[in-house]
Amino acid sequence: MLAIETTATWAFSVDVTVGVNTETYTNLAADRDAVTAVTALVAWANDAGRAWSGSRTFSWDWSRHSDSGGALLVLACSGTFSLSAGAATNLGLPAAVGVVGVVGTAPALGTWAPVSRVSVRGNLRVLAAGDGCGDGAVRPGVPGTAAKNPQVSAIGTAIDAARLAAILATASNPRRCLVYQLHKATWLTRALGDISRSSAGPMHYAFELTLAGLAL
Amino acid sequence: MSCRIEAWSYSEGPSASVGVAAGSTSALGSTQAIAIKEQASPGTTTYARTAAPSRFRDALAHWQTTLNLPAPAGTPSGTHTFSYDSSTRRVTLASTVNMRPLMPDNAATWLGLTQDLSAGWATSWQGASAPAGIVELVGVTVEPAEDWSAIDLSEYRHGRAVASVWGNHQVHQAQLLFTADEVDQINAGYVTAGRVRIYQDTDTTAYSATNIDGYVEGFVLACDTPTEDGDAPELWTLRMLIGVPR
Repeated sequence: MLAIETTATWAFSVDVTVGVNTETYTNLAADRDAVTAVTALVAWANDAGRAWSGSRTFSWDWSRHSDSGGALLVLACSGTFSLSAGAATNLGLPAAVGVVGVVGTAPALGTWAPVSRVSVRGNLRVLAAGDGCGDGAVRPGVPGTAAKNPQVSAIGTAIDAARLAAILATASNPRRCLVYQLHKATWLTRALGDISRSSAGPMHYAFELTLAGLAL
Repeated sequence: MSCRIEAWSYSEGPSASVGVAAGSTSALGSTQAIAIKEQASPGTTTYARTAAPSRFRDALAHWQTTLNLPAPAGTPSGTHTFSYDSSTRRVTLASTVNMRPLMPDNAATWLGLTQDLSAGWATSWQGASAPAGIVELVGVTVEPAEDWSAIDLSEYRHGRAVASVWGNHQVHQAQLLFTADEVDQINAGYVTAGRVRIYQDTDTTAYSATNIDGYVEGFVLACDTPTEDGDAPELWTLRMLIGVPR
């Protein structure tokens, strides 16, 4: 899954109720992508300061939404809880009462979940082009602090292609994204550069995404 | 036939004679206007003009509505029915009384009424040619939207990078497939420049990220020359790039 930072208003609030205790999570306006927002929501819900601390553990997950090519978020809990509708617009999580999990009914803003998942390879440090000389007196950068430029690719349907163009239209400037590296179970935050699309058969498209750095 | 491309006509700008203007002699320099003259006295010429750029069939409807407005003395007495038949590919301008359509500037090409209209009266006039403002297609391939932007991905010290973006539109790559009969319509230029709408199939709702078979509406950014396919000169293709503001 890929989640881009969007220009939408991310300062939403949502009420979480466990038993008789209701507390309100307010998302930071600066947390402008779905992954950062839902991660912060879960961290807040599991914080020791919550009234239900010790009796409930929250977690989140996602699944592909085939109708849109976006990601449906899932907010799960070790016990029953209730959720207000405050996160419906940004995260797609509807209001729910007395449940152990809430499944998104709409894709979270700025998310892209193509059919193939997103391939993230070679998340290695790459020196940018620069002056250098053979005797080592001048070096094109410092290897230990060079940007990590993963190779990101995916295969998607026409719906996925349309979804990607649609969310890019809402992207923040400069453009940043979080991408999930499956084999290391890690979210990478990167600047999102050029995206190329080519045909991968009669019904599918291949995507190559240029990502770089620890995005500013 | 459900695949088609439809063009917009363009206005020459604001005019005091927008709508029905009995006996107007003002110069009309675009396909935004048509005129009719009725046989019965007083036999004045009445212009109808859209107030804003209009899609082909919308313009037809607007002209019909305009000419059917309650008329002051001397304006058309007939009730008009203007239609486009996608099967016969002809425009018909009809009235309840004898009249003669007049085609200012390029309106004849736009509507396909390219026959001699200078003589005779009739209650119904059908175009001699297919209109240039709308073309029925054998098929069309419209790729999903692509974000069209210039991106400056810059890397800085300590592994930092910034991707600055400039852009305000999306593009669709389209390929029209049509027969030799439509080549003249395509070459007239109205559907290969300016604003167009491409219907991919029977879906008459707009394209969106979740309705990718909807019609695509935008501006022609680039257009190839129509190409004859294969050895049998029957099918032609034309590649286009359609820009859509976002």
